Amino acid sequence: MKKPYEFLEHTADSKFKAYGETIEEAFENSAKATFDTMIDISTVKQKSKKKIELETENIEELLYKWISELIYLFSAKNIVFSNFNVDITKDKLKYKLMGEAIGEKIDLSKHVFNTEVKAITYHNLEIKKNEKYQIITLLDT
Amino acid sequence: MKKEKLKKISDLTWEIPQNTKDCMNVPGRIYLSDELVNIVEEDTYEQISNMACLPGVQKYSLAMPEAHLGYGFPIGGVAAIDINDGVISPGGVGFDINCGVRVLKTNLTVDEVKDKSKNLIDKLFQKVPSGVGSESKLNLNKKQLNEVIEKGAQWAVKEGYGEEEDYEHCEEKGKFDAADSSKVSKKAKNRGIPQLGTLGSGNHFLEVQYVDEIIDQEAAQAFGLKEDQVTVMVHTGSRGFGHQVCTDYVNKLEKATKNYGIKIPDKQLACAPTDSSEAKNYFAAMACGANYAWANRQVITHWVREAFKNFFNQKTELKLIYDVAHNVAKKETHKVNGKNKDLLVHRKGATRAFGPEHPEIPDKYSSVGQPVMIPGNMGAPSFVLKGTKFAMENTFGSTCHGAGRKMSRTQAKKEYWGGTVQDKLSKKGIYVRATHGSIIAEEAPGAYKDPTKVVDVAHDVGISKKVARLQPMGVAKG
Repeated sequence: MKKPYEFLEHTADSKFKAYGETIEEAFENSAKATFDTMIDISTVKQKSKKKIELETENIEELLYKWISELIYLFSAKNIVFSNFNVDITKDKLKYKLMGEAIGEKIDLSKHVFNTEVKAITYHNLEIKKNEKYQIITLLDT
Repeated sequence: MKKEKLKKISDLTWEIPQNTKDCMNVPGRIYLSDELVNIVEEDTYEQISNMACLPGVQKYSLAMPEAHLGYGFPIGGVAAIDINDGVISPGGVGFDINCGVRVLKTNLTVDEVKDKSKNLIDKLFQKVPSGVGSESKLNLNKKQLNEVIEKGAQWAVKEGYGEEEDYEHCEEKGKFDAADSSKVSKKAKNRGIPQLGTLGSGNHFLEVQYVDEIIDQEAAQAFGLKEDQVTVMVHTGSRGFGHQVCTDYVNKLEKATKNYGIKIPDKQLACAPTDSSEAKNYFAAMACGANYAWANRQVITHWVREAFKNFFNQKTELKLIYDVAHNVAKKETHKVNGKNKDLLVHRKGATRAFGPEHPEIPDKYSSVGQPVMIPGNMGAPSFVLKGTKFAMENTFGSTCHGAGRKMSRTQAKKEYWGGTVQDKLSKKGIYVRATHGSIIAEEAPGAYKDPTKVVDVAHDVGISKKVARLQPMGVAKG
């Protein structure tokens, strides 16, 4: 198994490529890459859980909203996450995501942060499936 | 786009021909030296040509001398769009709405401060919450936040964080009248409440500096600057509040782009016709983001003043020279083909640089032009410049906003060790305090372009003119 995600070179921001055997796994790994930009996620304990439900018309928007929601919870509620479970379904009109993010309250006495992720962007956002799923996106840092 | 497509117009001016891409409505124009042209990432030129594809863009899609790779717009990107027949693009403003810089001049001299800069920076670091996860000391409620985002720096002054002169020395007098708090999501407000009065992280900072060189005596006098004078620079923006406003509206306008049948080469350039409800709502929300940032810088200014007064004495003065916005779209009137035209000027990592006699700049600066502050980096000088007539005629009154990175954060952390950078700077008499060493490594001077080379291009081209050079003495980083 290849690594779940890798960071690509970008001068000012953070660009990553996340992989998954399934689209769900690729979404989970994208979330991990987002938090890994800010902190060594192995230092984040899995103490609290947030449920996230989203609905969109296309898969790119679903990713945009998924990452945006996690950044929101991080920024407004001061929770940092390290583990994620996602289930995605699709009917005729909509994509639906039922997910959970697991982590803990920010504790500045033990969490060492790098720069902050401000947002996910649509720039060069790419979700594709060859042998497995692959997501490329750029975070504003 | 390949670098070879760039056409050299004159020594420091380059053009991307309009036929480079089918969708371009105007050519691209970039101000760079031969040396800087080769540092700029090739995709940056692609982004400049993409800006030229926005409906209603006038004359040129522009990039200032610090041009570097962004998303949607490049950093240093300026696009002036016809307000009556064009669009607004949240991606052309960016997530950190009204990220900006202000400079305070003190009545202290370098000799009075230099041996104390470490303790002074430590005090500032304690006084102003900074870094990821730091929390506001203000305990605002929702009603108060609505007032903040509708009244900006004027709210802060009314609440006792500063004086009237402070907002008089901000663009828009520190308050965008277009702000309407009902156009802002609950989420943005939830992010805004716990972060007002915090510095943030990344390239945001508080820096104690001194004037080591006056380049333009007359303008320096008008700005109240003299050699050896100590100054303080504050660089921060609208924090999570602005980030959320942009996140919300990029998504809304992405849908609007499709609904109005607008073709754009990059989704992050999502936009809506200026007269549409989507555009009007975004503008009102963006104005709230700008107000939040002005209030944020104002509250921080107040705490910087308190820290200085407690550290030195109560007679210590810190007067605001001027406050400039880096990421914003503004309604402005400029000459296009000899006629006045109402435009929506998008500046993304660029500074307004209005020339002399412009009605928008404070009377006391009117004869010399608007003060422009360009931050350097932890180990290199910043500059105060003045806006020019040339900028009014060529860049819709805009200039650069900083030096720009040349190395990614990841790369910087591989190349540098925070402690070593800190020691090296300390030998130069610059004390750096940050939440962690890794932040210092990410922001190491070597990760940035040389600010002097970037500012020299702006000066030599004439889109702003150097007034004074400010050397760093101490920096507090998030």
